[in-house]
This record gives sequence, C-alpha cells and structure tokens, in this order.
Amino acid sequence: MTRYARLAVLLLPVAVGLASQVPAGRAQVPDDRYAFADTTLLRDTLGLRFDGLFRLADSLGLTPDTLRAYSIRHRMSLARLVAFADSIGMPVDSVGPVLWRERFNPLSARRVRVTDFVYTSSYDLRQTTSDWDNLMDFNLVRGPIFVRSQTNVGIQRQQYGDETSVINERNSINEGGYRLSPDLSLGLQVTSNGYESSNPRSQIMDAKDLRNEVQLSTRTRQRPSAAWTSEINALAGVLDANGKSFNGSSDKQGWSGGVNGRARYQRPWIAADVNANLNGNVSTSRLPGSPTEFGTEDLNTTVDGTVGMFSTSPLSTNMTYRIQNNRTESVTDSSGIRRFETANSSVNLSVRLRQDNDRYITVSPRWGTSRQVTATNTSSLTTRDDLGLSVTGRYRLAGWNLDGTFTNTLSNLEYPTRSTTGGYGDDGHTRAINGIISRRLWSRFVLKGEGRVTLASSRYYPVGVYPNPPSNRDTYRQQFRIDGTYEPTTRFTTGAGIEVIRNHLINLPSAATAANNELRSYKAEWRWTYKLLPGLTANQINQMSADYTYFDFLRSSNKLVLDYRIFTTLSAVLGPHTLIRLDHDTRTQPSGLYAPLADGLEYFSQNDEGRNYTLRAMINYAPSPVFSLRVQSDYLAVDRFGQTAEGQVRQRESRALQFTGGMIVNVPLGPKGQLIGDLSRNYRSDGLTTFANGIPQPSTPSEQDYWTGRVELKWAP
Amino acid sequence: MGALNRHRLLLAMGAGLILLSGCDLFRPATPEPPSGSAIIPSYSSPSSTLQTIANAIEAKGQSNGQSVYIDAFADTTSDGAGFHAFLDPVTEARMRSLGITIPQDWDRGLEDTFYGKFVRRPQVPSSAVYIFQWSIDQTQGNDDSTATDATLHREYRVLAAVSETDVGTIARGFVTLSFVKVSASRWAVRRWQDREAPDADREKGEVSMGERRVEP
Repeated sequence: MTRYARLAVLLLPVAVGLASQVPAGRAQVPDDRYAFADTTLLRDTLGLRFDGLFRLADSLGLTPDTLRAYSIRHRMSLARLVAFADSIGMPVDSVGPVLWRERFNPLSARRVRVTDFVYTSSYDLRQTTSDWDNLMDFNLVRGPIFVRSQTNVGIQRQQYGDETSVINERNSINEGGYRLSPDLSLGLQVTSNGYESSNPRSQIMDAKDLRNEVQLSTRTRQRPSAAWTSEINALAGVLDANGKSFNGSSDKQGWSGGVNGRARYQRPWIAADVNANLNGNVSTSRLPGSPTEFGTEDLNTTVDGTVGMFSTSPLSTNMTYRIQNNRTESVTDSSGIRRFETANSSVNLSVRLRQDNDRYITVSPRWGTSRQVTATNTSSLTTRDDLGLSVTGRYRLAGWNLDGTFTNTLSNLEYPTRSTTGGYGDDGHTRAINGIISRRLWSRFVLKGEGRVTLASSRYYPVGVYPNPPSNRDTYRQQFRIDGTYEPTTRFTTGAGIEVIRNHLINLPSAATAANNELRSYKAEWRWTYKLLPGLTANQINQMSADYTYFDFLRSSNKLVLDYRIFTTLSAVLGPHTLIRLDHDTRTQPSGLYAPLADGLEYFSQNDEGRNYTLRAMINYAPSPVFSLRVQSDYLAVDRFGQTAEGQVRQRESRALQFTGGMIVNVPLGPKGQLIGDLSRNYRSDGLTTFANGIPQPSTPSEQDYWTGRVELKWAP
Repeated sequence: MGALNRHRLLLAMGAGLILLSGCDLFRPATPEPPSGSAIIPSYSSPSSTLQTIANAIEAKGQSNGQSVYIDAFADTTSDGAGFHAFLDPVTEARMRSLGITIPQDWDRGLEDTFYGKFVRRPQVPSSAVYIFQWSIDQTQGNDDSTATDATLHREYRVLAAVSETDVGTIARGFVTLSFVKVSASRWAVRRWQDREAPDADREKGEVSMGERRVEP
C-alpha cells in the first residue's frame, strides 16, 4: 500500500494542468521546436515526399522515423495515410492490418465485376544468404460470386562454409463463395501453411511443419443504426497438421473453427471499437510415426478495443484494452500431452486537457497482467503485473517551448516454481522525469536545453524456499544537454552542444557491491555546414568526450577514456545526374587508469591509445530516373598503441579496403509491371599485423569477393 | 493568457518540482559495504563487451552478474539505440508449432528477465559451474567495424560442469552481433541475430540462445 501511495504525488501535475485553465487563444506554430530534428528523414524515396513529417508525427504521438516507415511500407503519402486512418477510424499503425483484412472480405467489394491479379517476385542476394520470395494475389468478382487467393512462397538458402541449408516457407489463403446479400456471404476457405528445412549436416535433416485447413465461411455485416456498424464472421471445418523431426511438434487431425467480429459505435462525442476473436480445434494428435493417439484441444481468445470520448473538446479521454487467453496442447515423448497456457490483460487510459497543440497536459494510467505456464513443466510458471502512470505536458510561454514527461511504473514479476521448493519474485519500480525547453532567439539562433533523471529499482524476494535470488539493485541516471544552432546566412550553419551524463550502478547487498561504479560522461560538440560553391557543400563535426568510471569501493580501478573525433564530409553535385561524396573520419582514443596515488590525488596514467581513420568516397551517377550507377570505396585503418616504461609501443594495426560497385533500377514495364532492384559487386581485403616486443608479425591477408542484390518484379495484368 | 494566470502556473509548477524533489522518489538506495569480489565490467571494445557477457553468465546471477550482463546491451532510453534479438527462422517455426507465443520484439527488458531465467535453470544443479565460450564464426565473413559501429560473427557454447567429468551443454549456436559505441568507454550490443548450429545435438542440450530465450 505504501508503494501505491507514492502515486499520489502524481496528482500534482493534474492539479497543475487544472490550474492552468486559460482562455482559448490563437494557435501558434513554433517551428523552432523541430530545429534539431533529423532532417535526413525528409529525403524523398520511391516517389514519396515527407513534408510536415515532424509536426504530423508529433501530433500523432509517433516518432518521425516510425511514421515515415509506415508511409513507405504502404506506399502512401503522409496526407493520404492520415486521411485513410481517419476514414476507417483507426490509428495510423493499424492501417496495414486493416487493409490486409479487408482484402479478404467479400462484403467490402463495391464493384460487380473485378479481375485483379498481382504477381510479385523478389530475389535478395547477400554474402552468405539468398532469399527468393513469390507472392501471388488474385481477386475475382462476378456479381455475387467471388474468389480470393493469396499465396506466398519463400525459399531461403544459408551458406555454412561449403554446405547449404534450405528453408522453404509457404502460406496460402484461398476463399471462394457467394454473396447472398450486401451483408451476408457464404463460402469455402482453404488455408495452407508450410515450413520445411533441410541441412546436410543437421540431425534434423527434414524438419517440417505443415498445417492445412478447409473451412466453411460465413461473413455477415450489420448496421443496426447510423452510429453502429458491426460484422461477425464464422469459420468451421477440418484441420490436418503434421510435423516431422521438430522436437515436440505433433500430427493433428480434427475439427477446427472460429468466430470473429468487430463493432464500432461512433457519435460526435464518442468513438468505440471492439474486436473479438475466438478460434480453436478439437483434434486427435500423435507423435509423427507413432501409433499412440491422444485427444487435444486448442483454444485462443482475444478481445481488444478502444473507447475515445470528446476527442475534439478541451477535455478528452481515450482508453485501450486487451484481454487474451491462449491454450495449446501438443504431444510430447515423455509425458503425453503438453499444455501451454498464456493469459494477458491490459488497460491504458489517457485523459488530456488541451488548449491547442502547443498547450496540453495528458495523464495516462495503465495496468497490465500476464501469466504463462506449461502444464508439464511447472517451473515455467511466470506471472507479471504492471501498474504505471505517465504525465506529459507541453506549454508555449513567451516564445519558450516547454515539454515535460513524468512516468512512474511499478511492476511485479514472479517465477514461483523455479525449483522444487520455490522460486523468486522481482518488485520493480521505474520513475523518470524529463524536460525540454527551446526557443528561437534573434531570429537566427535556436537554443535548446534538455534534462532527464531516471531511477530504476529491482528488489528480489524468495517465494517459498529459494536460496539465491538475484541481487537487489538500483540504476540511476542523470542527463543534461544544451544545444544551439546559428544560421547567419543561408550558406553557413553552425551549432554547438555540451552534454553531461551521470550513470550510477548500485548493487545493494554486500556480496555484490564490490564493483559498484559511477560513469560520468562529458561531451562537447561543434558542427558546421558551409556551401563553398553552388553544388559543393562541406560539413564537419568535431566531438570531444571524456568518460570517467569511478568504482565506489575499488578506487584503484578508476578509469578514464578520452575520445576526439573529427568527421568531415564534402558533397558535390555535378550537374543533374552526378553526385560525389567524400567522408573522412578520424578518431583518437587514449585511455588508462584515473586512480589516486600516495598523495591521495587522482592522476591519469595512460595504458593504451586507439587511432581509427576512415576514408570513404562515393560516386552516384543517375543518367535517367529508371537507372543509376553507384561506386563506393572504403578504407579503414585501426592502430592500437600500448604504454610501456619506454614510451608508446605499437601493439596492433589492421587495414581494410572495400570496393562496392553496382546499379539501381526502377523500371516501369508497360502500364502494368514494375521492376525494382539493385545489384552490387563487393570486394574486401583485410590485413592484420600484431607486434611482439616491437617486432611485426603479419597475418595472411584475407579477401572476399561476392555479389549482393535485390530484384523485385511486380506484374498486374 | 493573462500575466496573473501565467504566474500562477509557474508557481504551481515550481511548487510541484519542490515537492517532487523532497519525496525521495529519485534518491537511490544506499548499498552495503562489500564483503566479496565482483566482476569488474569492461565495455571499452566489442570484444571486451563479449567477455563481460561471458563473465556475467559464469557468475550465475551471483555478485553483480545481473547488472553487468544487462549493461552490455543498448538501452533505447539513454543510448540512442535499443537492443533487439532476432531468432533463427527454424527456432521461430519450432516454437510456433509448439503453440508458444514469441514476443514481437525481444528487447532489453526481456533480456534482463532472460538472464535470471538462464542462469537459474532448474534442470541444472545449483552447484554446477557455468562456462561461457565465444569463438570466431568463420562461415559468415570477417568482422566489420567503423569508429562507431561493429559487426562480429561468433559461435557460442555454454557448459555446465558439476564435476570435472560431469560436464553438460546448455546452449550452443551462432550469432551475428551488431555493436554501437554509445560513449567513449562503452560499446553496447544492439542486435543479436541468432542462428542454430546446423550440427547441434539437441538431445545433449545444444540448443541455441534464441530458443533458450523464448522457451517456457
């Protein structure tokens, strides 16, 4: 109870939020909030642009790279992706699963005559692996008659020395039927999933796992009122699954079925979705090749949904929930039937008080519990409970952008039966607070300050009799950073930042505290970009950092690692077709003890020094939008020196040279086909020399020469 | 927004921070004085991080094994990159055929839990000594490294020795490890791409770490 009482302090930010009730004002658009964002994410690809990415990601609560990845995966512009998500009433990350699901829903077809066929084949070649994937998608509608088919066949080859293993995976789902009315259809669904692997050296030469189901399908759709929509689908049929040499997989034959449905209720003030899925089978199972049969039952149940209220008003709420129970039975050698059970439940609630996108506070409590166990292996019993609360706020005041987050999470994880006499549990407590403040000053200077403090505690306790539970520990971290960018002209931009990090690792019981240590990192960075000529840009990053490791009880082991880095890039655009880029990266890293001497003061005594140099040149020539050539060379030199009484002595030097040359194609094959791909030849040579008492001992250089590439052919006649 | 309201808001926030700092919510506990030896971790190069992982496994959760182990893996909240482990497709298919739910993303939190489970396997006598061996995997090409990233190909083998003559294997497999340099003195693992040993004798416990992670 005491632990939960601590959560009372979290009511404070709510009070702050309520106290900040202010009259609605004109929404402001602070671009300086995104002044430090990773602008490489804005580069166009596959004909997609990402204008407004940071602002959109911010408002959706996603990271910019995640939103960009969704856009690329679904080949949709950001605007179209968000509009589509709005139209189906789902978050952006659900667009893919919904699209997939609706392709197989005959009740979603609007046209009376459809013939769609898409074939995609891709071949991916790497140094030791190759993947060949074939996807066929077929959709036929003739009035009320429909046929859907989607088949994916993949072959993966993995090279182990001079031998090759082959993995063959295929998944096929096919359904045909008759639409009796716009809201009811009957059909037959055939699904087949197979996995086979073979390896000449493996003891499981022909491992396989095949599963086929033939089921009658019924799909229905209801619209009891303008606000309610729902659909209920049912499947029932036969199951035939068999595995071979798969260490526990068993042959299963029997009946399988399932019911799934979803409902949505939408009014101007509320939007509620619920999805439910129940499926299972009743089968006769046996080990492959064994005459002994067992009765087995599998049952999976999932219910999840969201409830959002007053989403456009100043005070809005959103709740997501999920309840899942799975039970799977299979035959084992030793004890007949093995039952594996999992159960998970979670609820997330968020309450937001919002004036505009730059002034809001969100309070989000969450709760979750999970349990899993294998009936024949009770030591596997695991339970987990989580209870947490986070408060996120943002405010724009007098030109300053303020962002803050506070989270507090209590968790309990138990393995109560790790041995015959008991097990152990872990009470975890993680709290974190961070704040960001930024502002544009004098129109050309943007300042940003950031601070974060985190403390994670783990407290272990025995359950029953268990002699050696893990050691209690705390992990404490402080991080502060100040950053500024200055743009005096459009040709020149510069910025600098300093960062201080303190990481303290604290094991608590005496048996584990000897090596408790604290890492203090100090970092400074200066960067600039200068447009030397039209088409020629220079960029440099200078970094210095020092890591001091202090041992609480082993002061003689205190360490210091220094790091100096200069990274320079020259980018030249030679006309509309040619791009040349040159990178030079140099890094020097002395390190040694930072321990106290007889006078009690701490001194740095250098032990070794590493020096890394990288030179990279890249030429990209794109004579047309459908074809480009790329050549790249990388040279890497790594030297390591040791410190002896005689001074610095070379210990090791390695050199690596790599050439990569290839082409990229993106060719439309008439109005219905497309060929996308790249193919490269790679050559790499490595050399290593070690030194014993200053005498070089070179190793035999190694060379690698191989092709990599990927070709994808898409055809939709 | 009126000036009076702004001042009230700032006062409320200031009061909140003062209250928060006074409730010891962010004060770590005080450790006991040491009574034995402990692992001195080193993450200053990819190979020393691997050695620290081996030392932590061999400590079997005693001493500071747990904290030393998990510190070898990148933390998304503080390192700018998070740790993710990926299973061999063969492992994945086998586990799915047994009805075992595989987490969509095996992250650092799950790895922290896995350590305790792995070093306290109920099938292994508690008196057994763990031996963790890394060796270079020659089948996947050379290791690769730059100033900030590195990729290493390794074979691993974990043995449990009850006595000099009673030695069993509890894990064996291959892994391609991606490292990221998160500070001047720390290389952290950010990707563990597990592969089963093609000639593994599963009956003798030569099961991959990937399978050990997800098995019940």
